[in-house]
Amino acid sequence: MNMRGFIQILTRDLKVALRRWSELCNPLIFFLIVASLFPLAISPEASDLKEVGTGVLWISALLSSLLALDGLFRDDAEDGSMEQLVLSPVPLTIIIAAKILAHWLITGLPLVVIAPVIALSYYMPVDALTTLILALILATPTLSVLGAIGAALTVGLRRGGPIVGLLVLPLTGPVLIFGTLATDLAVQGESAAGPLYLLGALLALAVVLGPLATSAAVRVSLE
Amino acid sequence: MTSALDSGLVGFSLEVSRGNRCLFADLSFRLERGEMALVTGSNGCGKTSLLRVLAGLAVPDSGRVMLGKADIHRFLAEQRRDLVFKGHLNGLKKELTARENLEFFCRLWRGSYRADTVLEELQLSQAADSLVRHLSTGQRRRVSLGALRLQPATLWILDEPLAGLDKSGIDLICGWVGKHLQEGGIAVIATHRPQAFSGSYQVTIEL
Amino acid sequence: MNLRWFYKLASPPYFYRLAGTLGPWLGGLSIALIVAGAYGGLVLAPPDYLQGDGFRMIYVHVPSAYLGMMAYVVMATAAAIGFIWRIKLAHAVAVSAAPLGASFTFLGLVTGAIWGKPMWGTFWQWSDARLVFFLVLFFLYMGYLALREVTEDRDKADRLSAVLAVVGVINIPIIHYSVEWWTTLHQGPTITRLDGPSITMDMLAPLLVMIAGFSVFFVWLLFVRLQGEILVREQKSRWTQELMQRGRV
Repeated sequence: MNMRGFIQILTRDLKVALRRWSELCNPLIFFLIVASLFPLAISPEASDLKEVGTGVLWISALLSSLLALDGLFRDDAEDGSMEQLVLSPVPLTIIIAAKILAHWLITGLPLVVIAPVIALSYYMPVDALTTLILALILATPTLSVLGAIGAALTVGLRRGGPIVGLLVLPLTGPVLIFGTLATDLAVQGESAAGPLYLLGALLALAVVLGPLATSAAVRVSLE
Repeated sequence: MTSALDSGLVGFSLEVSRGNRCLFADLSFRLERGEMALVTGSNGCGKTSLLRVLAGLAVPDSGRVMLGKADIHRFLAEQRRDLVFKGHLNGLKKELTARENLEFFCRLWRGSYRADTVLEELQLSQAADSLVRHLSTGQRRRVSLGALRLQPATLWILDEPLAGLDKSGIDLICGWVGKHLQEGGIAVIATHRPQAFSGSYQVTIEL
Repeated sequence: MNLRWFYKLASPPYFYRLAGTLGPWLGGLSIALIVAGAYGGLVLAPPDYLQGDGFRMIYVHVPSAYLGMMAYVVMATAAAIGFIWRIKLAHAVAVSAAPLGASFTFLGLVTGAIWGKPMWGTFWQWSDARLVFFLVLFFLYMGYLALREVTEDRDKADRLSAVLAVVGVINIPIIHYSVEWWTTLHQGPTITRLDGPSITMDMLAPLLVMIAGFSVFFVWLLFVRLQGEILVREQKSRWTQELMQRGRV
């Protein structure tokens, strides 16, 4: 029963998102723009770009993730769908989990696909790319979950938009640390298994606890 | 609507404040199956707050709401099938068609009616495959209320359902409410036009 | 289990009077402890064989950092209690603790920087995990206060910030264990080790006294803020009106 509700919400959210595909591109374009601004601001030299490549990639992914958050709950809150979902026979945590998954598929996964291209433009060795992709696949859903908490806390607030970053970014520290560590190790040709496992652990923790916190926040926001 | 309820909807000593202003206190009522409560009062007096508390969206400062033997605020997910709330907002996704929206509600609540039948009753068969974005306000309202027929709930909580409807829409919805009550359902409706409803037994809550 | 004392404690007027009575004693005690600790740390304790007299910064830095973290735990626990059992006073405790915790954290960061420059040559060290997560703690406090600021309804603010506070509490164990997980600038645990403290007693004793003094100081300030918070929240009640009329606020 819960699985069926999960799939129903997932498919609905995907359908809705795909019919507004021009909005989907925003986080992706933002990612590209930010990653392109760094060489202008720092230096276009290959040696410099090689050094900052990892950091730039991860920060850009983080910021794009943040940008995309607004669309997670705001739309449903404004047209009354959120009320209906909260009152539906499907448990709210399942609903939230489905929405976060849909959101990640639309905004996070494209980042993972484009990231190798950016990485190559920063002269990252090709051998490191698989680790990069793996790390992003583990990290970006965690970022979506953390972001969902922030989005749920601010969705009902008139002036809540600007502080989402302040709420979410401090919690993303460990993800950033392990993600860049994994990438750096791969760039140096060493095994990144340690940080990757840690990213996996963080993801597991986020997936289990995140929807709980998010649904508590959603309920309060709707009161 | 075959849920087994011992008693109907009971509100015990409900108190709700907004900010520092107390909207109402010590509000109690009892509704058996087949009965309807109309909530009247001027704007801002707490009609919507009361309905949201009854639906379980908001928690009262004190008091309880029971549907049958269960406290509404402690409902398990599955028990929420027995309750449907339609507020001021339509709850429709603009990017989906009318039919898709209704089918979504039907599937989520595991109802048995078919969306096409309801669309016919709403006289929206032609607009069934238009995106909700392209429907008029009145049409959207009708689609939103149309979900009531698809959700097999005992308790209907409607916040000004007639707002935005034309005469035929009003007649339709009042007919539905009457039928719902006849089949043993319960309704709590906030409205500025209590005279439009003539249910079997009415309780009026004036705020 | 007789929980009557708990319910009594959760009653605002009762707690207000309790805080008023205990306040001055806590204030006096904290000042006494801090003076004693300062004397012990600045005068009595011998210079460290590695850092000389510079190590004495520990007597301000460690208690501040400790209180910064402890205040967060108090805040998160009170907020959780308020959220789950809907006790308004618990939310008032959380709100009152937040600015105090933020200040202690800030003090900890500043004293750490001041200590760091002459000792290790740097105000800040990004590679030090404990330091970074301690900074994150400061941001968490800021986020909590910002969220409250932006929420217009007080009850909503209480409940939303409670969720945020509980989510952020995971940072506290991260700060504590980060020195074990990553070996960087900060030395390993000095006091809370299973095989006993690795610091001599004549240096340790003033430190413990300072920590105790700071803790009592925190509780005292918390009570003072709490009284103000209670008055604001209960301003429409009869007992506050009476208090103000009698002029004994």
